This record gives sequence, structure tokens and C-alpha cells, in this order.
Amino acid sequence: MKRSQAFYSLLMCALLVGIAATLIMGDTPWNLVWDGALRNLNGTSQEWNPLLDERLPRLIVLVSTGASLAVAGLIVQALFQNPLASPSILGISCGSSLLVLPIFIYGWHIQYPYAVPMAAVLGALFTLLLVYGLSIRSGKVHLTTLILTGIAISTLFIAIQSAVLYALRDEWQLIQLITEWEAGSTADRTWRHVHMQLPLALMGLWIAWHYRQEINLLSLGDEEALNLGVDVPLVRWRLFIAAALLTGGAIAALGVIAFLGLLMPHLIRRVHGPDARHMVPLCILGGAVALIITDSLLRYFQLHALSIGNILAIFGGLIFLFLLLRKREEVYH
Amino acid sequence: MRQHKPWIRALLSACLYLTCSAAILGWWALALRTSPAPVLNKIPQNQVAPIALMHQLSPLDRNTLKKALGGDYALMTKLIADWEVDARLLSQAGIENVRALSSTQFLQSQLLGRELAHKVMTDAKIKVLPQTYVAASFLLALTSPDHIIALPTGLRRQEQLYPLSLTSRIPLDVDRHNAEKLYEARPDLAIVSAYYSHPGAIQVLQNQGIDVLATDALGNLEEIKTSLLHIGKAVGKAKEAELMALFIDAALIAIDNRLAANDLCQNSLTVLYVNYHDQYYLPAPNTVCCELLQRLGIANPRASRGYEPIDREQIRNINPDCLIVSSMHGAALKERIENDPALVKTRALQEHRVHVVDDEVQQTPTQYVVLAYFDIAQALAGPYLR
Repeated sequence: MKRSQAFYSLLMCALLVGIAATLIMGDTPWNLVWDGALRNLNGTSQEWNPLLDERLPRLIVLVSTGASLAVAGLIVQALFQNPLASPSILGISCGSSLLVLPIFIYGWHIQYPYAVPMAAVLGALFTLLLVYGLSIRSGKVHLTTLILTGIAISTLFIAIQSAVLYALRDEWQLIQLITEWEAGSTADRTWRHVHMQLPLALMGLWIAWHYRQEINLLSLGDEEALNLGVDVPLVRWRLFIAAALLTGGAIAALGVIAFLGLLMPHLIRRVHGPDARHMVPLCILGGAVALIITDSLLRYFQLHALSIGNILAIFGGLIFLFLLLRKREEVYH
Repeated sequence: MRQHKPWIRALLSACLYLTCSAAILGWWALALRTSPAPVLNKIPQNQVAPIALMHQLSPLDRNTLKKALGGDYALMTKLIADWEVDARLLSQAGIENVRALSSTQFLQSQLLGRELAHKVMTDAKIKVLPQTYVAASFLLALTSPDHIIALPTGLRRQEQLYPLSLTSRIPLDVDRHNAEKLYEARPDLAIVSAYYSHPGAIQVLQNQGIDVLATDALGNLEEIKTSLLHIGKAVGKAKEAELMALFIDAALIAIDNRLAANDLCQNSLTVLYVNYHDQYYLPAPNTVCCELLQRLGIANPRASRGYEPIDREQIRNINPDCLIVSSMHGAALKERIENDPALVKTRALQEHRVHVVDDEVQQTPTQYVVLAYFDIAQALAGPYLR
């Protein structure tokens, strides 16, 4: 219990530090930012303010994206009873990316700023429905079929995306644009991104919170969960919807952020134990902290050559490898 | 827990899904309403009054420049002569910092022009396979399309530079999968890039017994001209290449002189030049673009930090008098910038000095660098440059 409280406290402290860094760091001096924000809040000014119109939306997007990806990872790992599962196993991320591609190709992202997030969300939901639809046999969905269908669809979508990019390889500006988007970025996040993502994130997190007990039971296996009174098909379907909403929203807000969904539940499970009643809030906190701190460090050290997606993928990969090696050592001994 | 009948459960489920969907869609509908466009100042009238001296100068317009750069050598010669006269007129009028080609260069350009005008076509008739955009661009201006075997696919889409009527005369595309077809066309020379041509493709060309000319990376104006002369010499068009290189110099000087004539002191203006893809970027140093900006006297803020993203808060703090955005999305992007609440208070927006320039022209390290320079200069000078 004490360990659990200490872990909560640690994450809360890190979150507060991250929030302060995100809100304070910037090009405009703090006193000007604060004065402007007060004037806006008093209603004496309607001028664009770096704190209210740039840093605050960025913070909200970072928090909700980190929380979304970590909880989506937790859900998928519990449902597949596989700690190596991540939202990409169902092809959700690939579906999102694929549907965003035509938006960039036809240049709709300039005329219709909501086209990219909308396509990302629709891509995620469409992929989920497709994978689920193809996995149904006699009204039932078997987990193995679902995983295999997800992998097949995911591979197919990646292949289509590669084919399209290969066909457009001469359009170097387009390739540059898509590469930049896929790498993920926190620059110029506005309230538009917040509004696009937040309802999806809140809905997804609410579903995860509501079913946190069931997530626990489902991770024991379908039969165990069924015997303990869980309506497995219904709960599983709803949790998959939650994962799609969370992943689609995250991609819509920041682009493709790899590894967080896989790594964060892992880390938290390792430190705190597998109880999903605590895992859901801890994943929310941990995911948010990971993204906020990474973004703050990138901004502080002005590492403009790398995107937040690159950094998280590199560190995520290294940490994951380290955990696997340690686990192997433990098993060996 | 009380168990409901199946139809009641289905109904409750449907209600739940509908409520959730309605909540999300409702949120979006409320949040994503279009907000009214921000208020900008009226266009200042003092921007549309060119000084009297301008009427005495020869016209300098983009279409004429483009035509000349496309390989119209008679026009090049005429323009160089006109600009020489312009330079003298401006000097006589007491304008400072007026420049011109050296007398040797000027005479050489006129001599080359006359030679080319009276030249009986004595082409070496070599067939060339340009593997790079740069080589293809030079060749389209230097030689007849009949001597070019194939073009890089993407170059055909740049119709603002290379008219379809010209590129459609060259049926083949440069493609690694086209090796046999390209070989059947029997090129005498292939021009590749030492930096980014696929090694396998170069090997195939060499195996086929085709002469290969490798060009270097082009990071400044001098390298562009050197490459032009190099390619011109290799395809038997040395004089055309030399005239074109002189024309590039003359055109840039002519643009500089117009700016000097109008006393458009860029040093007193804060000008910000950025690229836009899905966010704003400062151009990288040590590129042709940076050389052009430097030549125009634009000290682009923090360009020394390299090709890096710049967010709207930074742009707002720089508060440029003139914002030049290089992008593929001209009018649509301009409209978006003008409606951006983060930028609306910047001097550039208030004074209607936001200009979106064609990114494909800006990024081209070819003879069309002159158009890139003209576009930036026109963004600065507006109606004064004509």
C-alpha cells in the first residue's frame, strides 16, 4: 500500500513539474505571457496569448495523448492476455495513417484543417470494425482469429501505404510532409487539436475506467472471466472501441507515437503489480508524464532534429529491450 | 444484479452507443464552428506608387524571365543589353549601389548572343539521359528535346517551370525499371548525381557502355553555374551554357538594382522567410535559399540554427514586417495564415505583407533560381519590382 502511494506521489510530482515546464517554457517572457493571460481571463482583451492559446492546448494534448496511448496499450494487452500486444496489433494505427495519406496527397489538410484528425479517427474506427467483422464466426469472435486478422490487416495497410509512397517517390515535398507528420510533433497544437481529441480520449478513458475490474478479470483468460460473471463478448467489444477511440484520437493530435502503448503498461505493471484497478489511473498518469517530460526536454535542449515520436521510439525500444533482458536473467536464475 | 430481458438490454445498449456518439459529435459540432475572420488593417495606399524613374527602366517581369531561362537565347541577349542600359540610367540618376556585369562579361554575352543567333545548327547530336532534375532542367534549356531520352517523372509535374508542350515531346521516364527501354534509345551520355543517384542504376549504365557524367551537390549559386557549364560542355552546348550562366548573373544584378532604385532598405525591415509543410520551418543554412536571402539583405532570424521547426509563438515574437512562406499551397495557405489568430497582430498581417511563394521554384538548384530570387524580391518590393 505504501509502495503504491509512493508511486502515485512520484508520478503526481513528475506530472506537476512537467506541467509547470510546459506552461512556463517558451520564447515570450513569462511576465508578458501572464499579464496577457490575465487580461484575456478578465475579458479586457481577446488577443492571442501564448499561454492560453499555445502552451495550454499543447499541455492538454500531451496529457490526453500520453494517457490515451498508455491506457489503449493496457486494454489491448489485457484483452489479448499478451504483454507484447499494443494498439498496432489490431492495425488501428496503420488504418489511421493510411486514411490520412489521401488527405496529404490531395492537399486537403490546408483547406480543411480538421481533415487530418477526422481521417485518423475514422481510419481507426473503420479498421476496428473491419478486423472485428472479418473475425466473427457463427456470431462469436475468437481471440486467435482476431489477432491473426489484425496482423493481416495491419500488414496489408502497411503494404498499401508503402506502395503509395513508392509510387509518389518523385514527389519529395509530399514525402517530406508525410514523414514529418508520421514522426509526430507537438509544435503549433491549438484548441482545434484539443477539441478533436478530448471527447475521444474522455470517452475511451471513461470506458476503460468503468471496466477496470473486468480488464483485470479478462487478463486471466476468457473462461475465468466468464465464470466470474463478465459478459466477455460485450465487454471485449466495448474495450476495443475504447482502444480505437484512444488510439485514433492520439494519432489525430500528435501523429504516430510508437512504443508508448506497449511500454508504459509494462513499466507500471513491473513497478506496481498487475492490478488493473490501479493500472488504469497509473497508466493515465504515467503516459501523461512520459510525453510531457519528453516534450519539455526536447524543447529545453532544442533538439529540433528529432521529433517526439523518434525520441520515444528510441528510448522505448531501449527500455523494453533492457526489461526483456532482465526478465530473461530472472527466469534463467 | 437484476437481469433485463434481451430486447431491453439491446435497447439500452443502442441508447448508450447513440448517447456516446452524440456526445462526441455534439462536442465537435460546437467546437469546430468556424470563427469570424480576424480584423486586419486596410491595405496601405502608399505601397502602390512607383517612383518616376521606374518608367524609364526596361520591364522586368516574371514571365519574360521564365521564357529566357527556358532557353530563349535571343531574349537573354536582349535583356542583358537592356539591363546594362538600366544600370547606367540608375547610376546617372544618382542611385547608390547600382551594379552591372563587368565590361568583359557584358561583351562576351553579346558576342555569344550574336554567334548563337547566326549559328547554323551544328549540334554534336548526342543523345543524353538526364537522371537528375538539375541536369534535365539545364538540358531542356540548352538542347532540343529530341536529344533528351527521358525525364525524371516528377519534373513533368512541375508545369509552372517546364511546359507540358515541351516535356511531352520526351516520352520516356527515368526509372530504374526502365533500364532496357532506356538502353534501346541508345543514349551517348548519362548525367547522374554523385550524391543521390542509386549506385545500382549507375552501375547498369556503365555496364551498358554509356558514358556517365556525375554532377556534384549544388549548395550555392556558383556551384549551379559551374554545373551548368560542365553539362553544357559535355553535351556540345558550351556557348549556350556560358550565355545562360552570364544571364543568371545579369538577372540577379538587375533585380538587385531595382530594389536599390526604390530604396527598399531591407535592413530596416524585419523579414521572416519560412517553409511550410505541416508546420513552419526555418530554412537550413548553407543552401541556395539562404544565399538568396543573404544577398537580399535579409537576416532571417535564427537561420544559423539550421533547418528547424518554428512555432507560431516564435513567429509572433519576431513580429516580422514581412512574412514570406515557401509552400506548395499558395492561396489556400495564405488565407489560412490571414485567419490565424496567433499571427493576426503581427505587423506582416496587419500591413498585408504575407506572401506565399512557390516551394518548388524556391527549392530548385537550377537556372530557375532566378525566379526564386525574383519571387522573394517581389514579396519585398511589391509593385516597385516590375
